Amino acid sequence: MPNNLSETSLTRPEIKALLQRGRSELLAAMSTPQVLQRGDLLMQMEEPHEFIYTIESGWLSRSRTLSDGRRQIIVLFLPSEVCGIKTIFMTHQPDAIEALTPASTRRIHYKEACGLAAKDFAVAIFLAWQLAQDERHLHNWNVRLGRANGEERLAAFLLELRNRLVALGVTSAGTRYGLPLTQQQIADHIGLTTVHVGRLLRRFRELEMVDIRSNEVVFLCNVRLLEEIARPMQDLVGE
Amino acid sequence: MPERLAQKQDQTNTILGEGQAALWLTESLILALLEANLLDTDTILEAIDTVIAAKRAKAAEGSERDVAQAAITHLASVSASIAAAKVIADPAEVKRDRGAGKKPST
Repeated sequence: MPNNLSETSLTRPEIKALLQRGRSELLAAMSTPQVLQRGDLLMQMEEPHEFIYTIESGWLSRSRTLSDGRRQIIVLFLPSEVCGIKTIFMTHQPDAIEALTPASTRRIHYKEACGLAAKDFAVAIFLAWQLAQDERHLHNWNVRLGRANGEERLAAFLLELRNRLVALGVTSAGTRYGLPLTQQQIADHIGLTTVHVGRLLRRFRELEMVDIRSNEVVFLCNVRLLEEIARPMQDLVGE
Repeated sequence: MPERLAQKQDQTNTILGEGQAALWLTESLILALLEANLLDTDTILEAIDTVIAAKRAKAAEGSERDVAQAAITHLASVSASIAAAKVIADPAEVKRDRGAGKKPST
């Protein structure tokens, strides 16, 4: 099964214009930008919350910390993505959303978003589409955390971010991109320890597949092998 | 008094540093032995489970409960990580690849 299709090519043609309009309507109703510093929490774990967000700039993560201190970074949010839609359905969010870099977000109260969705089907279908996107990412990570070995997880992680950034228009990400995550945060996302991540990165570097230098991912001459390692763990759009 | 506190902190840092060094060294050694096919994953996971069970028993006895719980947490993370340690990249294949082309694809 080829997995080099684009997200746009998979989206049903009859809803593309509707999605675009729904997105524009929702964004137009959102607040002015709110600035976050690295480490700021947009949502606290298990606390009541009432807003939906769009990310204008910066990277954010959704994570859950267990009572014994273990932490799982569940998903990474990149600029232009919408997060917190489950606020429409749930009074409390089970996870925290944290800024990994200085970031800028805009928000809308869930009741206002519901009101827009009730008036305009385009907004409703856009919210449903964003939830479907989130579900797709979670399915990918479910497969990886359940079935992939360490190499496959790390390769898929580095290439998923490359492909998502390229899809967002960051064309230079095809060869290198800034990764604002510590080795501990990478480990917390892909379900390994920092020691294991460190060994795998060294191995990838020695095999000239990829290197991480000063928080920048740089793809090397054997990136094709990295892609081969990740391929079984990627979905139809290469994420 | 502040000198004694500083000394105590130094001692604590030394102990924590030794503990962290021992844990990281052991894990790195296990991964190296797995990569070299000198150990198999199941044997290691079983060994970690044995240590976790021993720590649980110690915690149940009330002996250094918090320390035992922290150790169990670390061991559980190490166990999950080692379970994913199977190596698939074949260096021989990479060498063949190096001859094929040098340009990174995008």
